[in-house]
Amino acid sequence: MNISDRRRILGPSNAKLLTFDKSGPVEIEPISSSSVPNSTSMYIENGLICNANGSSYLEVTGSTSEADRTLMLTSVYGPRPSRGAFNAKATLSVQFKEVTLEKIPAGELKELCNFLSNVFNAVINLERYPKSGIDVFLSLIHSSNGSQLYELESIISTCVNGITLALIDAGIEIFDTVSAGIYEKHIVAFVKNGTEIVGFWKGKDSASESEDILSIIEQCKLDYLKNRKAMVEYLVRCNDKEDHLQHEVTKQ
Amino acid sequence: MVLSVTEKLYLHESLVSNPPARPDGRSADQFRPIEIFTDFLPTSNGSSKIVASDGTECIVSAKCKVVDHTLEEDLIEVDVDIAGHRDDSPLVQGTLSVLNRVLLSQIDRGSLRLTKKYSFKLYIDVLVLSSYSHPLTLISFAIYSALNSTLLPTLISSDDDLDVAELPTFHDYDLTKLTIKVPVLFTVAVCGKNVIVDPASSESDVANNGILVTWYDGKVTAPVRTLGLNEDYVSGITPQSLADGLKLIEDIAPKVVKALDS
Amino acid sequence: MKEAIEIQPMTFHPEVLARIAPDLSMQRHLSLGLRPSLRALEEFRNVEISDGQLSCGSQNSVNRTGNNILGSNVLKSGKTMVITSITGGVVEENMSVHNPDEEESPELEQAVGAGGVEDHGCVYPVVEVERGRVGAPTDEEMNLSQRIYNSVLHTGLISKKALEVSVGVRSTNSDGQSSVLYPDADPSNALAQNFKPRRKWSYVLYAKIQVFSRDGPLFELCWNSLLYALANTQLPRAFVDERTTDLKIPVSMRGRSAAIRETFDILCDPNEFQPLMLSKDRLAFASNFAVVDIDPEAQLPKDDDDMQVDSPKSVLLADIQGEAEEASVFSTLSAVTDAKGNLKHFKAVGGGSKITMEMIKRSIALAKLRASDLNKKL
Repeated sequence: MNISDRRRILGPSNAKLLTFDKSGPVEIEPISSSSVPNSTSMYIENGLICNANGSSYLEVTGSTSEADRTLMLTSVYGPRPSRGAFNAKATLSVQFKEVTLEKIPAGELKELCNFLSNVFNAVINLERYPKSGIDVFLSLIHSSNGSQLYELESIISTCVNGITLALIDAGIEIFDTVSAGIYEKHIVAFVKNGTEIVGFWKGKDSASESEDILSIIEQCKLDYLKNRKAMVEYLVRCNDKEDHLQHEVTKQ
Repeated sequence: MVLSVTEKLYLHESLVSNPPARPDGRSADQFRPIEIFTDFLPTSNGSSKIVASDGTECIVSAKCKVVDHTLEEDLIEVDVDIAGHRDDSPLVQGTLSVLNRVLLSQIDRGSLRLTKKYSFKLYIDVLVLSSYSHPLTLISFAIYSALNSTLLPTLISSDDDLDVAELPTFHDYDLTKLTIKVPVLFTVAVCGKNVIVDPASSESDVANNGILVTWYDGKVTAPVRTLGLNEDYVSGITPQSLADGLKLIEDIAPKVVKALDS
Repeated sequence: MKEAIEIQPMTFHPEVLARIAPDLSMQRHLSLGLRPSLRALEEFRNVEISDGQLSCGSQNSVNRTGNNILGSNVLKSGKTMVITSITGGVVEENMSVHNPDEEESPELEQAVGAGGVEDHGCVYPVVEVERGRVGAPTDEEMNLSQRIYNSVLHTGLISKKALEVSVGVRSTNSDGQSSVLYPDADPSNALAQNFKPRRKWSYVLYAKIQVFSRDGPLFELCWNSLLYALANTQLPRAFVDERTTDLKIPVSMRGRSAAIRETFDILCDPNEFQPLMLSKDRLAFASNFAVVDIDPEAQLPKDDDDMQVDSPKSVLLADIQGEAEEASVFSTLSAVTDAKGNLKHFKAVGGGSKITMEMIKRSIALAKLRASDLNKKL
């Protein structure tokens, strides 16, 4: 049975999406494989969304080339009252949406949301917010990676970092700043200065198959420490600026 | 069964102790006894039923269809139905997506190749009749034994149909056994410093974290990831626990696969 | 009665007052000659636009592979952010019986110029407003989508002609090198002449409009964002492979293998783009207004000397923003116009306050001014 969506204007049903020719020479600048790994750069801005309790915007430029970019807007709603049965602690939900292009299959998104809510269940002090719900909305604005359609690895790590920043912006109590590090298709979300893992994701087989798991984790930890440093520096700078403003106001 | 807060705390304490004291007296690397029946559905090409000692029961049926593999990208399609869970619940969707991805990425397309143009496409239907613990391990055992007992019709026409177009024709009653390597998924629960395999529902409820490990062709492969088994006790784990979990699977997986094969 | 009841005046933070008594907040601000958003009565918000470097056709796009966004826009107005992305598809046109050559006849050209709705192309918009909930689209989202769809269709911003695909042919020579020839590139080319497609295709444009930080009515912001996105939309050149131009493939349809179908696979050139031709004279921008009655009771007490006898009964506000303003206005005006005052869309809702002729005139004049401002940002 053909169920048409009558709530949205979807256009003619016999239309085919544009398919770009892949055979021809595509003008891609040769990927400048910089020998220095993990030379990612991160742009952070908090509090962009005014009707959410907290939000963060992350722009991560990848290690391999300029073209490898992930733009993610995260908003946190809550803690807000949840109806229904009494809950001794807050319930966390994570929703993921692709704002511009939809290329990730729905099942994979569900897995990703499950994974992320598991990570943050371990980190948010849920006992502090009984009878409430904390809802995290991830909006992927853009994600590109030279050769593939999408790269889940960089998206996942951006999600983890983005949610942490948004939770901080919302003033929701977390035990530690979680941040993720990537190494060769492995993503590890760490807390407590890299001594504890709250999430581990290996979606695809990587080249370094023979490598020991502990050394992989060690590599991810280096990336984690770098990411966390960037996030903490941003937060401290924001705080300073706010203090500064406060100071200005009192002077007047 | 829903445990009280105190019961859970007690259970957690005993699982964290060294060596872990599991409620049913198993050792950390011991599975619950399972019973597997295969080939009991007359209308499907391969089938299996698996019953675990806690009453978890799962039925898998594999059916095949001839498709043009130049047009069909995916030669395996899994459908999962878990009694008591909606089709769009995170558990069902997550399980479905993991299974589809593991089977599609790991299973060799060549083993389903029929002729130069046509292949078999396998439809695997999973029905979990009752589940008391995370059903992924049992489902993957059931799929493993179902696919290893699958019989496909024998091709009698030529297998080179690239120049001369010909629809494949099959022998009236002869069947060929499907030879295929199937990945197996394991769930490991981490409690404190201990890792325990095949957690029962009460153990899942108090585990600090879970790890999903895929075993294929004699080694641990992707996907490997942490898996939330509950919402109350979930916490971070040390890198050593993760390594221990993988090591545990590397030790026991060959034995498990051997047992499933026999 | 010795003890007098003492009444403590209650004071609220402005945001709290805006939430619990939007009309009071509005009236108090108005009596100061301001609006709750702290703008002057006829002051618009500034609009920042960028293309977000999202589309694959744009010059400075960050990536061109695996990306089929044809045009994009990020519009920021106050705190509200609207992200519009245009994607495309191809649809086969129902060809009329007559020869395709007749299509070029001058009479038909004129007919297109005359412009009925049937000659107008459109985009298929889906508006999503982030509000921290999941589920089916809200009334607001559905209304917005429909209103934008209707407006694009009826303004004739995009003519059907602009959406036609001029199909090229890819030929592969003996060295295995392939080249694509387009009919308009070199009309003398024999090959392109030989291939007369018996069928016709046109582009279908989809617009996905995502709104963050909703803070007031959205139609105008979405419309303007869509317009900017369409203005930088690049359509890829499309071609079919030479080998398939005259090919008939037997396709088996449910056992009956006799059905013969031509299959053209339309491919798009990842390197060649043409801008989408918008009808320049129909580019119009949207702005909104509201009419509010001034309630003399709610005014702040004034000094006797600047008491004005002929203070206006109602005022016109431009560009509604914020909770207090949105919740306390019932009479609204919305205009889509270009800088010359060619009105494309006008909507007036008179709920509560009377909208006078002067106000309509004034709002159109302001909308014209606004449109000429916004037009400069194209």
